[in-house]
Amino acid sequence: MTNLVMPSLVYFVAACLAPFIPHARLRAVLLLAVPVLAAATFFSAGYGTSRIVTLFDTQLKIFRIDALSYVFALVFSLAAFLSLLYAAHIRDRVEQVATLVYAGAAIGAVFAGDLVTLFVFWEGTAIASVFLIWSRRTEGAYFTGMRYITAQIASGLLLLIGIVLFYRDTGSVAFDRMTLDSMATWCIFLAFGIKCAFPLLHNWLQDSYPAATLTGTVTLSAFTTKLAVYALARGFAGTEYLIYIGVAMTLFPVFFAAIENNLRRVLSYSLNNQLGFMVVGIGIGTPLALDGTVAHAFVHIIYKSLLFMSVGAVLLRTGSDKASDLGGLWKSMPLTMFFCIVGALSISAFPLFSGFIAKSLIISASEPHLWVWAALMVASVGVLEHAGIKIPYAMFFGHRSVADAPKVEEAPLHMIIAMALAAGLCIALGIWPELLYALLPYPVDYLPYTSEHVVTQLQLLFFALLAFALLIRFGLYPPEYRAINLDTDWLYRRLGPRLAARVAACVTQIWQSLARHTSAMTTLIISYDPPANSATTGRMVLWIAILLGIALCLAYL
Amino acid sequence: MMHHYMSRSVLIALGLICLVLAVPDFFLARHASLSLANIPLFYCLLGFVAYAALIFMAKGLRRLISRPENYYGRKSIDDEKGAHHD
Repeated sequence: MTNLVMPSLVYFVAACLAPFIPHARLRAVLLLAVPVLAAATFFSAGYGTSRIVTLFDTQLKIFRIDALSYVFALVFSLAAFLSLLYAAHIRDRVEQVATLVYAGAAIGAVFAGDLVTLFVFWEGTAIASVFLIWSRRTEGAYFTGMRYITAQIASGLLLLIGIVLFYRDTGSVAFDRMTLDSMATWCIFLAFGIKCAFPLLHNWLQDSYPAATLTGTVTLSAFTTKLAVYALARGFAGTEYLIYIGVAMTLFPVFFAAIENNLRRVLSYSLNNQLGFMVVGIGIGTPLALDGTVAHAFVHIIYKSLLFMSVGAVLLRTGSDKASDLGGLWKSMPLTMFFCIVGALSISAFPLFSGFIAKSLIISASEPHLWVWAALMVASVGVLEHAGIKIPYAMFFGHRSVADAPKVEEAPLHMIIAMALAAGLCIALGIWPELLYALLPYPVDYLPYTSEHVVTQLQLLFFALLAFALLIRFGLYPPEYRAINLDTDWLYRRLGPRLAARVAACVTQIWQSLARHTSAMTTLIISYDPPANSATTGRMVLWIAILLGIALCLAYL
Repeated sequence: MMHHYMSRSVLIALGLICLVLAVPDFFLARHASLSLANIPLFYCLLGFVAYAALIFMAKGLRRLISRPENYYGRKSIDDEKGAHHD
């Protein structure tokens, strides 16, 4: 028990007060203080600190700090700060409040010591985050937001069912390590799986992230999916299924990302692939693998935000985030280009950048499983392709020369500062990995910078770069054009509605034909009525008989 | 349809870097737990072949799943023009 102020409460109070600050610039500056204040509440609290409340006759551990929750809360605070700084020009109060509630709920969820508290914050992230999509205020964004919230609520509902069943089975709602041996844990696992964008459950992510406002996407990229990674690491570490699921996640988005035209969607596929690495680490479940997952989530949140920020800056200045519209911007936006390349080098795991020191842990932990290791190596080449090369190349070089590129200004100062901070962290963690390793849940006995490791990694990356250059030189690299690509969302956006329309048409036809025959029969029966009876009574009796008949049929269906 | 452009000098520079990076494989023995990974030029070939294979497979996939931007109509953001983003 402690008198510690809950960090999520700081965000929620700020969210209630923020709309009443009239001066927009003052509001933006004050918002920056929120993640700092919230982080200060738990920064110095020791591991093991918890807060318990009694609800009816159940004890809920609404707050608990341990190594795992601490490191996730820390990086979430960092992401909230960077997102708010990047969005300092925003005047839209809805988006600002949504950002605060979303970040607060995500941090509340990682500190949740029981499943009920987790559920409350889990739904909080869902409801708050959809406003970052709706803030775009277009018809397309409205429908995309509806699809997004449907997936998120489905996850919440499954979690709730799982919790109820879990309580019935065990009499406890504590959120600790679980095994997949009951309906309850399967429901919880699937709930986490939807938010973590498991294969076939993934498409809400690529559908919705490019639809948010340019600042909203940066915020969205940090929280929801990494909260799911945290929940899986806490609840299902060492579950073998996660290895297979994770490997599939690292591989399939690579192909979609390579041919996608919308650069924010390319990054969303890339995000899905990065989650795959983390899920593999959780599935392997050894201390090295789990450390790798946490380290990877930490650095990933920073460089993925950075990449989304650079695409957002280009979108702000040029009005487009599509590869087919962009290119040649290196001269007009040199700083954005520099930060984007730092993000690209980090995600591709170049030595001296943060991705290298984190992903290596997972890949080393996967070595006992040859095929997993091989898949992760191929997936690493895929990461280089879509995030390392395609993103900076399409925006700043690509198919346009500087002369053809639109003449635009560099990104605004606050965006530059946000990107510079993120880029600085990418480089600092790459150079001094011990800073991050010290935060990880298990002691790290790992040296990322051995000559063998550095050389082999550089060989892998530079030979892939050579392949890229040759493919472009010979005109074999896929050209950019305006198009979308079908994914599993086709099932519920096209096939499902069409099937439903077909079934509805069939039912209507059957109904109409039945109605025609019944009416003919009615006329027949009425015409045979003895003249003494009044027609109205006869009809009434007939209709009652028909209704009773239908009721009888329905009762037996 | 927009094709990218790659200058010859960049290509030559990349080729030279790769050449330099491949040299240590013939002098330094590797100690990976996987014997496969100890074959000289293993990572070079893996990077090159995996990249090229990935691109060709993605191009094949594109033929199957590419659709016009207005495929999902007004219920999607893909065909929106002039949407304000901030």
